[in-house]
Amino acid sequence: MTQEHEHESHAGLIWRVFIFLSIITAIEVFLGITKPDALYLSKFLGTSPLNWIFLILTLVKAYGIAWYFMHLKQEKAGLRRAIVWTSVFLICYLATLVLIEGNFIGDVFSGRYTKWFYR
Amino acid sequence: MLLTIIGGLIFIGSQAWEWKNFIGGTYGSLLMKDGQIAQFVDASGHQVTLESFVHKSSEDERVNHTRSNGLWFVNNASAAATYTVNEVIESFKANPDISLRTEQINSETKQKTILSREAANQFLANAAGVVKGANLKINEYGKTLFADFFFFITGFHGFHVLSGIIINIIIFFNVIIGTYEKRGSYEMVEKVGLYWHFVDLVWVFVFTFFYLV
Repeated sequence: MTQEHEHESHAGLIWRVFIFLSIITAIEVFLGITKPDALYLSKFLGTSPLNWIFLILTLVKAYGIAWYFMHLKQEKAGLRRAIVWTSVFLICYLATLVLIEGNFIGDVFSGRYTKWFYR
Repeated sequence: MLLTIIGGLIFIGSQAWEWKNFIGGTYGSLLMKDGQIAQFVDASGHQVTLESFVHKSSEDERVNHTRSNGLWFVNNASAAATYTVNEVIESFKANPDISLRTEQINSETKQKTILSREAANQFLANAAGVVKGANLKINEYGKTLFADFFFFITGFHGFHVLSGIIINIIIFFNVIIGTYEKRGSYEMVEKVGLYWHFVDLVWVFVFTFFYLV
């Protein structure tokens, strides 16, 4: 990063990003506490729309932190791509593994392998 | 900078408070022989504490461990739960308003299943212990594995935040006494900022997957 960037009005930007991230967190906490039935009990692409909202807002927050707080914005495009696309690949990879393993555990709990009642 | 340090301390404080509550426990529940957890609910389906309906019987023959007549290096870590299994079972049978709730989740309503009286009696016959609180071995809220994950992840994250706060304090005073001005470079502030925000980035994901989803 270069010296000129340091002397722009950085404090203002930091506060704006801080407020933006706080608002997103407030929305998440609000939805997490109220859990509206329409979002919580319905299903969309394998999970509830509420979970999709949480996941997407989380990625937006991660972008905000990495881009502004960790100064990725001021890095050269090449380094930026190297970081972002590696992360995208690794997140997809991890999500795939977790979905496979989670499905297995879900099957165990819902199938004949788990005894929920005593008789 | 000072605000960041204060914010970090608030975060650690909330985390410690949350841990204290989880480890101490809220309601208390019954552990089955095969590891299932069963919780107690009132007629309206809200969870109730063991204290609210269990009566201590005079037949509790358990003895508290003292250092003078046992292992001298072991404190009486109040390992014995307040109530015995028998006290809980007797009080449950005497209280028709109380029902038992299992860990099985109804996928339609996403609520835990509440048992009928007969099924609950079958559960009581298989009870192995009374649980209050959560730790790495046992968890009154559900699966022990989740408690393991939760304490492991939040513990490591909290420890990193703690080191972050200490490093931030060092940087704060270094800036005040002009260490970096003399050195001619503020690179170290930049690096510590990067560390702090990486820990922050991790928390964003921890929060989503352990608290929201």
